[in-house]
Amino acid sequence: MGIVEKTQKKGTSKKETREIVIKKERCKGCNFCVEYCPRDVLEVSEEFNEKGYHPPKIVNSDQCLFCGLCERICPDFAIYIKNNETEPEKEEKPISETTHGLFNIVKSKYEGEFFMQGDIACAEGAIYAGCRFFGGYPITPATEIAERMAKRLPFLDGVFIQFEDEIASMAGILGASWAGAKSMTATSGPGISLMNENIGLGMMTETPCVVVNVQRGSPSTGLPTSWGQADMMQAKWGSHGDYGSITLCPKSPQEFFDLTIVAFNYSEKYRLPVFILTDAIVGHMIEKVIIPPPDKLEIINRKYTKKRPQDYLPYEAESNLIPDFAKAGDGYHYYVTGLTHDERGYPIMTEEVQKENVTRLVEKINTYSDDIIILEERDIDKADIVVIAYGITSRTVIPAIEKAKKKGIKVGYLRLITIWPFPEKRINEIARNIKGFVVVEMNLGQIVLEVERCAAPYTSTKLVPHAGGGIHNIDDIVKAIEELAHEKK
Amino acid sequence: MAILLKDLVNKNVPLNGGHRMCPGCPTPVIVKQILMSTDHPKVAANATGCLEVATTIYPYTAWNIPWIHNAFENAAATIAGIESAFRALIKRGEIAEDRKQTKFIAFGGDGGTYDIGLQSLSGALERGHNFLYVCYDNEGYMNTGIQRSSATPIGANTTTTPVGKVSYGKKEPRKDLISIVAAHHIPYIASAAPHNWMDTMNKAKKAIEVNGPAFMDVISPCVPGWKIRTDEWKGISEAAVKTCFWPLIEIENGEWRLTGESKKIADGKMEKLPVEEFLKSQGRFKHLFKLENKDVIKLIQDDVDKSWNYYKRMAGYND
Repeated sequence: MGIVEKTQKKGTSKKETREIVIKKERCKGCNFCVEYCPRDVLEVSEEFNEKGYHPPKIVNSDQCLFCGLCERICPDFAIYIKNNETEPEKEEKPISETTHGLFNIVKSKYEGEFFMQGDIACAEGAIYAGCRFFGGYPITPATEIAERMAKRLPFLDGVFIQFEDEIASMAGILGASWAGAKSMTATSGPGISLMNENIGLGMMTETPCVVVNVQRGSPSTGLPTSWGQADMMQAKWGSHGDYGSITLCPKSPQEFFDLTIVAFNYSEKYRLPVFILTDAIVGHMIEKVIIPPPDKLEIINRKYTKKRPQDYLPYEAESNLIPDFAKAGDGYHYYVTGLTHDERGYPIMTEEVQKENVTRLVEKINTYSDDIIILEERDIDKADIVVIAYGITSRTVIPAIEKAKKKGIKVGYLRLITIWPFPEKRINEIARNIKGFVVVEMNLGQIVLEVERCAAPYTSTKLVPHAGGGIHNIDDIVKAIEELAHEKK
Repeated sequence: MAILLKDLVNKNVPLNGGHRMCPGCPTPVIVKQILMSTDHPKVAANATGCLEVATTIYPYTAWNIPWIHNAFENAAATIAGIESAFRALIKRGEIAEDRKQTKFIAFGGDGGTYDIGLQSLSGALERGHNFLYVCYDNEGYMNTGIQRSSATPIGANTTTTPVGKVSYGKKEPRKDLISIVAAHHIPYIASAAPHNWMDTMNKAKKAIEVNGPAFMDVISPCVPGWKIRTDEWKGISEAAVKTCFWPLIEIENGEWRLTGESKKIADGKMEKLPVEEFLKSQGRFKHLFKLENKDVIKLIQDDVDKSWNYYKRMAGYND
């Protein structure tokens, strides 16, 4: 049954045939497959199945791209794409470079173009970056990341642990990081709130790891299955005390993949838990994701000390402010504590040590902020008004900007990919030459406070808020742009 | 006063129908059995979970009694707060006479009880608040899409213990929560199964009316999670008891007892079925019936036998 297409897989000599299989007896005639097929391959047939419905039939077989949308959309599993020669499990099987040791980097063969969910892209990005320890706890809408890791890590000699709660998950990945693994956890608002104490521990002990927050409507349980961007300030100020932090904000599954790798690089380079803040839309969105071959992207690994064990001090930072690690198991002495500590790692409760210790936590991020900050800018030099957005809202503002441009307003676009450290310098620079900023975010005013702070003496700032669970009305954004453009200075 | 079916039909239902729980889910049945076992006024606290999400969203809000939702990990702590404050109000004379007997009941799934909520449960039991905690145990995080919990049995296929070439499913046996709670030496603890409604309701009545903390662990077969048909929960609940996978236990003031079918099996009046009878109709154990996983069933049987013998010994039976 169905049409058969023969393809030769790139880079292999293996031939693969694909066909659409229709299980007529399962069909209950909802016609979703017919309606949703982008190439009109299917049509409702005249015949009846056992249940008395009209199952679909294939009419334009040469048009089929085997995109699999019919398979995804069918509620009754009555239609699917069959791969005749290759077994998908074999395809996924990794080729290990080194086969011993728990945390050795194992090269995965997972590469190419995929139609992939954001959460899954994040998990793949982590694996690409060399993450071999995932500690997590189920929470909508971040569960898919854990599920993907549970499936993939056993093949890569990695470890997936589902802990008893988020507190344990965060503590667990800190432990794994000290044992030498690149480690990650993923959660959503309520989970981050539970993790925050241990995130502070990670900041104080300068432990590299990645914390993914797929934001949902908040506060509290809020909107578990829809989205928001209201944890932006929490990412910076969530745990108590002063510390520098890094937060990245992807807008698409592809960027979720890319930024997960960047997050691991930052966490290893600057020694701290790095946040990825995305939202349920990006997490659950399915889009094209390109996974490059293993050596294509830059991967930064942990910097180990070259000193002998007797000379080594775990928190002795050179002028670069970032102490080197010692490899677990190599006989170095370690003392890791959340108490204020000196360069030996020993707790010392004095004003001087507190000043030195905490100042360095803040300064190490401030010093490197130019390297950490990633921005996307469009038409900024000619603009009167600049729209600032991040994450999913940066995609909503595009049509609004187009609309405003048609009305003759010169509008620029600034997307914050790095949220923390905040790009104060650049925003201050832009503020000198424009009439105003419009900040579009899916909360009731968080990042706008930072923009106001940086722009204050030079220009005004306008917020287009949204409480979450939906997306901005484009006309609201256009209206804000217009109001600011016509405001007398 | 004994519970009679003919009385029950005339009672007001504390949890209305028409909510959004999955078809064939016994959890609302369990809630009704527990709440209808007493006529005292009741207040319920509900940890995040299937029950909370599916029975509350407007316009399908189904609760007819005062109800409070809290976070995932603290139903026991919230109900403890309510109960203590209520006692203080009684002391100050601010509560009417007919409300003084108000009962406090917390509901949580196994995720919110065995895992993340264990700390607050233990705290509330230790402080001795007068409340009943009911765990509806569907052996996994079903609300987020079927992940393993520490109540998931060996060999079960979940999305975080996926079955394949590397693994046969969950490798660790389930946590013995009854014994953990028993170690708090509270006045009343019971395990129950919804197919034996009389047993469940009698236990619930005792648990609610006892002075001090009480705990009930009720098995709740999950249609999507256990991959069963919507009409199967009753049979599976029964099989769980008859295979001694889920013994019906009652611990009153430290005295262990077996009840219902479990008592009959221990007394030799009923046959103890092999654990396959419980496993065979569930999709989550389907892979165990393949040749290569033969040993896992033996592993489960050994685990069941071990805990059954332990419970029997605790209830005063000699091996």
